[in-house]
Amino acid sequence: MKRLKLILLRIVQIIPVLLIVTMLAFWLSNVSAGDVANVTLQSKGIQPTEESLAAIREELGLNDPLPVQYINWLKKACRLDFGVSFQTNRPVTEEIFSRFPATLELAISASLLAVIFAIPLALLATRYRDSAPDHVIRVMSSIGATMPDFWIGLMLLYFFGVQLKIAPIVAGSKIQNIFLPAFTLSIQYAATYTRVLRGNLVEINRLDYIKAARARGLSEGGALVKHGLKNAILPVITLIGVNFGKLVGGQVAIETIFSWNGIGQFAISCMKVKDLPVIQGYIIIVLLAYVIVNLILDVVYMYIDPRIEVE
Amino acid sequence: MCNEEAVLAVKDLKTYFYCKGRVVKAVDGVSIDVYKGRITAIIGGSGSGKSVMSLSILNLIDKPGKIVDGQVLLHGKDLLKFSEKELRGIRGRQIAMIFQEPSCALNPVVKVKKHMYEAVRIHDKGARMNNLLDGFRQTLLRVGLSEPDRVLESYPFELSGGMCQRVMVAMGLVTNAEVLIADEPTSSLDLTTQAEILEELLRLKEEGMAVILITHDLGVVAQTADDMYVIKDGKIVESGTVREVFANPKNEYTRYLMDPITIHN
Ligand SMILES: Nc1ncnc2c1ncn2[C@@H]1O[C@H](COP(=O)(O)OP(=O)(O)OP(=O)(O)O)[C@@H](O)[C@H]1O
Ligand SMILES: [Mg+2]
Repeated sequence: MKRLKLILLRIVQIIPVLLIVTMLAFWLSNVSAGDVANVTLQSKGIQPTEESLAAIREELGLNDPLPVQYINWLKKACRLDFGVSFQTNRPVTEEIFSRFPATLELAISASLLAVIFAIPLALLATRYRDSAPDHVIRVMSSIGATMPDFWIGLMLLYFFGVQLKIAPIVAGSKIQNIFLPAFTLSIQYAATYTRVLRGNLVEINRLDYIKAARARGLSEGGALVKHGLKNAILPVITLIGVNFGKLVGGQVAIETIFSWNGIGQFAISCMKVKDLPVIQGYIIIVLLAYVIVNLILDVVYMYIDPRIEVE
Repeated sequence: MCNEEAVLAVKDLKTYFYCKGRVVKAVDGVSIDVYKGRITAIIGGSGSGKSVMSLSILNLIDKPGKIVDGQVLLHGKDLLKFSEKELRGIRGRQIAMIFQEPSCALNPVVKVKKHMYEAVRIHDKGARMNNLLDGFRQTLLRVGLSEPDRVLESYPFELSGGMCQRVMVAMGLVTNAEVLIADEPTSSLDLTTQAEILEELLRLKEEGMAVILITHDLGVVAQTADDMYVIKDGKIVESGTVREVFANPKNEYTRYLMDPITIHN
């Protein structure tokens, strides 16, 4: 019951976020309202004149008061209708949904891989702290956190693709294809999570309840896994949520290197030509994905830490 | 003190901490004998080395601490020479320990029933929670927790300090260890509950358990213990049966503990 209340509370808290971001996205189109009329005309192949501009303004409702324009826009946005791309003349939703799932897939895989790598590495580093494994892991995570991902990607591609001929260089949608780009993206996050987790685990390892678990007969590693991990992983869950925001917006470099048909490249190309409907749609879809994933992470957090209270 | 063979004998134990170039001799040459069916009290002031001694018995001293010398003989076998794996078979099964700070010694995000289950399960892989719950309820009732079902389903952070302490004691009981080390098991309890817990320790002793009772309260020693050791700065300054020591305290520190006010004035 307490948890259900908390989840509902979180959902309610999302509403102002959605409102503010949609307002910003809408405002974006408004600062360059002159452009909108102009660009729309041009995309239809009509020469902009005084009359044609006035007509298209009327048609697009650009003469209405701002709040009315916003509400009208929001109503459409709620139906995932962001209009037509200036660049391609196809519906924005179609353009986005032909690319966004690939990005989402990559973002989720990279986030999961990062945690999957970080947990055993952090446990190992904590169990053998201040000795060889810990030092090796520390150096590895320093390198991992600082190496640019496109460079890692190129190296991996060269090594696996060209040298070993294992991974297909041109990606499709199979698991083996997603592994390299997801792995590349996950490295910097795996490095960060490993360090955060190790720090927390070392702190927790000093606590009495770990000693007490060992006094019951658990091994040091067992006590860390059974009693340390649950407490140590909480801040990492928050970090996963934050970093997911970066991942889900698309990764231009990685998409290019691995020929991954994600949203990143498309979004950049639309920004170059001020394809406003697409940019607006992009902002909203990315935001929705971010919000939903963070909501799920909140629920996970609640199930791990029963101490969370409803205020 | 007793003619029988000691279940647990600590011989000239030395545990030092190496901090910032300084050596803290937390336990510095302690020898004690613990017998089946008797309560052995260790009494001393704060920082005298009682908790470090208990952890040393289980060979659970981590850096920067180190057991530098001595023996811990369980049935004549030196635990300090055991491998980590062998020690794990001893900890909790043959020697159980009740930790001093109950609210710190329980994992806040793990339910009480899981704690108790873990204590049993570590040494009995076939144990099933459902078969154990009845026993857990009985044990919790024995240590004076009148709502065992609620306690079992609670997380430690939802219980009071005294309730956690009783849970700790209950966990010490569920494994039926031969030796029970109780590190200040009644420090945060009211007098009635304290009496109940001590009653329980006496019952365990009647059942043949060897109990090490660590306390700074001489009243508790007088009520329950058979043998006693007075520890000061990591060294045993006085030992004997409770009757002997109370009748004729030889060491000045013991006399100070017995009557701090008169000696001060
Ligand atoms: N992890 C540690 N690092 C450094 N010194 C320690 C550590 N643990 C204990 N000591 C030192 O060992 C000495 C004995 O501590 P111990 O905890 O055994 O005292 P105690 O008799 O249990 O006291 P209390 O009655 O307050 O529980 C103290 O001087 C303490 O500072
Ligand atoms: Mg102590």
